[in-house]
Amino acid sequence: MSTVDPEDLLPLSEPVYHILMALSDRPRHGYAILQEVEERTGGVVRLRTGTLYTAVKRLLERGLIEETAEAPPHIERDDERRRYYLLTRLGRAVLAGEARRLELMVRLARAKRVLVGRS
Amino acid sequence: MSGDPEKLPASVRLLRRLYAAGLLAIPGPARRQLAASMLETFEAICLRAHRRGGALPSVWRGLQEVLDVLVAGVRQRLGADPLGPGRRPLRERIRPLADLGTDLRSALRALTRRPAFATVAVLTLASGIAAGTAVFSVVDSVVLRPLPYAQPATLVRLMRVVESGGFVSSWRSEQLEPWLDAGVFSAVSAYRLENRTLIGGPEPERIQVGLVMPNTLDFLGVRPAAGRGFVPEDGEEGAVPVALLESGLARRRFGTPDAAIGRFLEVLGARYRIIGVMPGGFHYPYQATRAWVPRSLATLGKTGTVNVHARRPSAIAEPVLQERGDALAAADANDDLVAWKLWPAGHVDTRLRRWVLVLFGAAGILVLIACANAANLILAQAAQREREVSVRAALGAARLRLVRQSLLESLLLAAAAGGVGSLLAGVLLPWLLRLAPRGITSLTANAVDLDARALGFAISLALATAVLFGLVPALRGTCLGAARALGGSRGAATAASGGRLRGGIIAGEVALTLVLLLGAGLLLGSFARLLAVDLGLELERVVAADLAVPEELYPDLESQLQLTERIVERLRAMDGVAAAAYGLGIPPGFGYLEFGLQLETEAGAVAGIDAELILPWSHVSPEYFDALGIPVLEGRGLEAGEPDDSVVLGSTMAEALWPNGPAAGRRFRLRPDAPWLTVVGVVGDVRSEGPVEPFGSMEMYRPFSGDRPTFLLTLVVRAEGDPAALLPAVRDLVRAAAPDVPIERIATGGQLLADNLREQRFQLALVGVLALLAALLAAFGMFGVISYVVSRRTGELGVRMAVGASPRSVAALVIGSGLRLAAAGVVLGLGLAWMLRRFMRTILFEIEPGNPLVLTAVIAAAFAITLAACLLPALRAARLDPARTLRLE
Repeated sequence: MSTVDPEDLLPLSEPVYHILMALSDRPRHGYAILQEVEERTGGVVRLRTGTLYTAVKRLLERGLIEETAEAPPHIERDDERRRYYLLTRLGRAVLAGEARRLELMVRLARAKRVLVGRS
Repeated sequence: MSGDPEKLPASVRLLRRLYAAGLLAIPGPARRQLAASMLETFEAICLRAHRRGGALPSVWRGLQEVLDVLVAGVRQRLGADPLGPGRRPLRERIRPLADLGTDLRSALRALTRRPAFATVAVLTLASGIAAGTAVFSVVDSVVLRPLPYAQPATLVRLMRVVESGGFVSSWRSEQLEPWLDAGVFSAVSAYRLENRTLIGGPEPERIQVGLVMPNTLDFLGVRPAAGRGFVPEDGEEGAVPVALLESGLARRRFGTPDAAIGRFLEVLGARYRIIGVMPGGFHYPYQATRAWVPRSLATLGKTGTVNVHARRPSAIAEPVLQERGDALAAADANDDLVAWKLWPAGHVDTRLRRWVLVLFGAAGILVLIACANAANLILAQAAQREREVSVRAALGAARLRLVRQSLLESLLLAAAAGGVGSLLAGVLLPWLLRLAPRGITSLTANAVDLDARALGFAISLALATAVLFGLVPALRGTCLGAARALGGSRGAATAASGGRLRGGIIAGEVALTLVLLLGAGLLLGSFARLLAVDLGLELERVVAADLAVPEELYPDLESQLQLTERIVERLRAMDGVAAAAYGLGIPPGFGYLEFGLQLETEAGAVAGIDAELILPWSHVSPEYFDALGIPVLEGRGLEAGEPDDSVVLGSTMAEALWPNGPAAGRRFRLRPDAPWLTVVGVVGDVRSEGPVEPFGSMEMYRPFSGDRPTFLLTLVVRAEGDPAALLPAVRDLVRAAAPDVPIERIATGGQLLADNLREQRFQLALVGVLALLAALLAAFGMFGVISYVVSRRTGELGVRMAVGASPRSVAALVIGSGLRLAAAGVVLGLGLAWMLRRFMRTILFEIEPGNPLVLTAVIAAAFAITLAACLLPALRAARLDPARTLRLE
């Protein structure tokens, strides 16, 4: 695989951003990603399976995430057939890059008084 | 959360099935990879929702998931990238254009790597384009395009209706005067056509001259190409005689239009200074009009009647117009203006129109076949191309790029075909026109040239074909996925469906070809019957010469006849001449056409005469019947010194007037107010208008009489031997005897007959050529498809041969598949022909569309062509080495 500059992949689409975010702290399987995103955004962002898995496929192709069949040690009671996805170094770099980009945008909005106060 | 289906509630089970179906939206490879995970997740979601709130929320949730999977799948297929647009550096944005250059080059290379395919595809499409364009140009000129004058829709001819109900185009100028300023027309222009004998060249020539009102050019909205038009003063009496020339005449006599300006047009009795030359293609009011001379309406009226063209004013409502015109007609005290009528200025013979549409249909069929063949060719390459495209997709080429490359190849093909096709069309068109009957070029006021719209249409069609079928492999290749295409098996499923499509196309081609072949065969039969018709006279040995004896030199009939007699005497003395006579024309197409008849014998009105009857009759000299081989059945022919009221009738007319008993010696008249005519003899019927008799079979002959000079005298010579050999001698004799008399036309009887049948000959030639071309294309297409099928089935055939099938049976198998296609096509074609039968009847002569001989011949031809096309592939199949083919599998 040729070296990819993370910058080249920005900006990320919204679903992808949230998927990567969900995988940033630990590997998860598909259903768990959906749950995490729904909980973390308070129900504002709702991913569906179609969107999720087509994005997952693309992320796998691009090397931003990896598949692993082993269940990580701290997960119990889950079906061993489940596929788990984890973030690669590239994926982490891309995610960080996107977050930085978004932060820049927010700072600009604050400077221009479009966004007032701190959240 | 186990995946055990039995433990799921019914609603979730149902949803799961729905979801599984929705998964099909996702492209194959992705689906296979993800389906299991997706189904599991889906189950989990639905179960959870079910547990939380019951069936309804879970169904709702489930449906949302199904919708989402459908949308995601479609978006994948359309090539959307879930990752997002990503940032594109400048060089990436520029690259597509540079890519275009490389893509174009590689498209070109791809085509040159397959020169046979490319050449054949281009030629096939080009032939379709050429045929379609050429024919459409003719059709458009004749049928569709309006006259080349300003606002042609407002141009009308003013006709007057006479007491008997007939329409007459001629007006006396004083009759016309009240109409000029009555607010009925926005403009009026009148003219009269006269013949003049043109001198000052190597031979005298008769030309048609239009005596037109000076406003005519403005009226029509045209300008001269050189020099100036007329001004009102030019038309006054005593003005300097001036003339405008037709472009062709100017070029013939003076070289270029500009050279003609200031020179003189010399005719017998007058000399006109040429002040202008009209543009090429301007022929008003007829194709034959060669010059225009200005005359005021008053001057025109002093010496004869005029024909009237006018412009209908758009600002005035129809009823108002009608009222004003009716008032004018009523105010006219004469009974030769009972009513009035406006005819549109352009008028196309319906018969001509109909068969021009035949032409159009035939060419259309050819275009379809050509495109179908091209499609087949492209599809034939499809399997190969699919593989190629899949490999490149696997290596990382963007799908859009691959599709674009395919598109570029198709565009290149279409562009080449367009170029070649236009050239071919340019060659085809003059050839078409040369064969065309006079009707085509004389009824149009335009020259017929290649129509840009026709070319554009044909090219678009070719383009559509190339693109449509060229995209198929590209689209299929990028969907298939590298793994499968590289997997070695030849993609049996796609081959099968591709093969069926191609087979279907071929069957269609065979059907269309059959229709064309049938048409050609029927026209051939029709033509043969036409040639076989007994015309009632012997044209095989005749030489006929039309003399345009000028009134200026021979001002009365007597001097004309004296001249003619002198010539005829000398002809009789010439070697090789069996008989000589003269008359007003000879069949086919002679003399006058009389209508509005109310035949009466001494016993009263003749019953059973059609009121619409048109009677051809002519003036003839005493030896006329002898020279033409028309048998005298009763009484005698005409003699020298015959009284003016003598008449010789054709036998049908004699029969109609006196059904029981002889006609000789009896009297009749054409109308109650016409003079009595005495029958001196009855001759055999002739087909006066040629084999196709439009007017029924009555005709009559009268001697030349009166003082008024005649406009035409036809010399008739019967040769002892070959008339063609005699013709030059006849022409030389006439020229020597009367050097100042133009010979308008001299031809053998055979040539005259051929000319009479020119229209039918043209139809036959055209449809025949188109049918042959179509057959060629269809044969080629069949060859291509059968070869393809053989190459696909080499494995199977190899197995057959390995287990003992003989080469002959394998070959028979191949031929059998071809014959099956042909059979389907023949059935389809016969169905098409059956639907067209009523239309076919209108263009055929004494032959039924279902003529068994022609049908059998055409069906046999279709199968013969199929056999020929399948021969080579069958031989190739028979020569297969089973060992080799099995190893390759």
